[in-house]
Amino acid sequence: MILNAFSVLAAFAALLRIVLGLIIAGAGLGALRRRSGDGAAAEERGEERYFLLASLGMALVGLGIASWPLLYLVLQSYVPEWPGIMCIEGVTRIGNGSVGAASSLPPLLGVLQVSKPLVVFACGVWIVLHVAGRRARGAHAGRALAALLVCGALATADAVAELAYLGIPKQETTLASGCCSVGSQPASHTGPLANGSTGLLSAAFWSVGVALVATLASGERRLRRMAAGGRWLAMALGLAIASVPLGVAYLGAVAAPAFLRLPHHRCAYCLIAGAPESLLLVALYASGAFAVGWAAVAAWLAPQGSRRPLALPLLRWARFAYVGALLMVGVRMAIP
Amino acid sequence: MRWRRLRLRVVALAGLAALPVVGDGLRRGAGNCAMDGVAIATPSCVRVVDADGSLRLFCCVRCADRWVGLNGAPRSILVIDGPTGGQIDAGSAWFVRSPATWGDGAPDGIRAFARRSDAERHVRAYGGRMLEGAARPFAGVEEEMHGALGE
Repeated sequence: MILNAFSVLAAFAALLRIVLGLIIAGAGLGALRRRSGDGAAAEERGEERYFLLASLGMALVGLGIASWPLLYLVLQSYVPEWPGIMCIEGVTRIGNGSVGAASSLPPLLGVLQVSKPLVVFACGVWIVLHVAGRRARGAHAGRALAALLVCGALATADAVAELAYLGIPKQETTLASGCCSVGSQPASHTGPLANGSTGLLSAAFWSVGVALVATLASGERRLRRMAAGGRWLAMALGLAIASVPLGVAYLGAVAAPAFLRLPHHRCAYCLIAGAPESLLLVALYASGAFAVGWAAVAAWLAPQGSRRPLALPLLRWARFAYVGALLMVGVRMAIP
Repeated sequence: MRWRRLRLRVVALAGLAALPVVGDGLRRGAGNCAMDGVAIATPSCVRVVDADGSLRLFCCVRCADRWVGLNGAPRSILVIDGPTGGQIDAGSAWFVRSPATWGDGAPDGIRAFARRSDAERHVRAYGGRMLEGAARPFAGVEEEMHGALGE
């Protein structure tokens, strides 16, 4: 284990998430059983247990959200540990070609990079259902409880993977050369996209982005008539889901070289140190996609009376976030 | 209330739009490698004057070689002579792939020498090998450059 302030903090936060996740899983299953028991008294006991769980859930949400940027701070802090490594891209390759436990480092990191946003999304789903349940005076509390259990399970699995990543020794690997240094860049950094595919990627990214903003802008009126809004919301959700892989690909292949002013350097990780303002762009884009998903959850799973009051502000935020992100990219691409 | 909220949104969006401009302005002029953006240490710095006459700095020979390969023959390439620290034309330099890390080293392990005897002495002292023929940095563009100069 590489010991520094960030890795110790990340390990501590992961341990806390495991403890909280296990408590939530144990007590949540108990509350679900009580709710399914006979009588109003059993249901009341279940509700009481749920509100205790909700407090723990809030702590888990905070830790789950904080652990996402913390992972990248940990990876950034690992960069000076190996000579020749210049950014996080190199750290993600530590363990490649190893035969011991270190060989599991790259897949573990891949899992973590997917599980972090999943945990944040799951926590958001739970908060939406929790707030909706409270507004409807406890109606549909079972759904919120189930969402909290899923959120706890995901957060625990994520924390276990993170602890494993932090704990596995990283000394046995040797790198032949640098990470992001040009000589050792993978083909994806300078190869396949170099011959005009960036144009196709840009067209797809902007088409989906503009279509999404237009859909969200036209949706407010439709959402007021909730029955007519279902198909529209499904379309917005589909576009938001498509915008995620497109956004990730566009960030690495087109936006990062522009922000860094390095036309041949396709590395999104270098944005952390090279163009910190682009992190706001990433946060806006991700929060926009999440907000559309949470709005869909509110519109389709929340109790009848609280659907629109919850979904509308989320969709407004999504529209603002996408417009802001696209504006930032557009302005940067326009600078000569 | 509605107008106030709208004005707030417009101001926020204007602020977001200004951020890339401000960030780009603050970063301009920073002496980082034109290929991978890392800070440049003077002993390994490579200076390339491209076809348009713009000066581009690189952290190492390999970055410069890769950039030249992607962008075509430049007007001139200057590398640093290891023993003296002076600038020499890449076309007349001797290159050694070296495991030595002294004197800030070179990120790519390639060192340049003005004299063949210095390069050979370096290989005898630290190991490594001379880069000659197709393995020589800038081998692909040197002929093109010299041809253009001759015309």
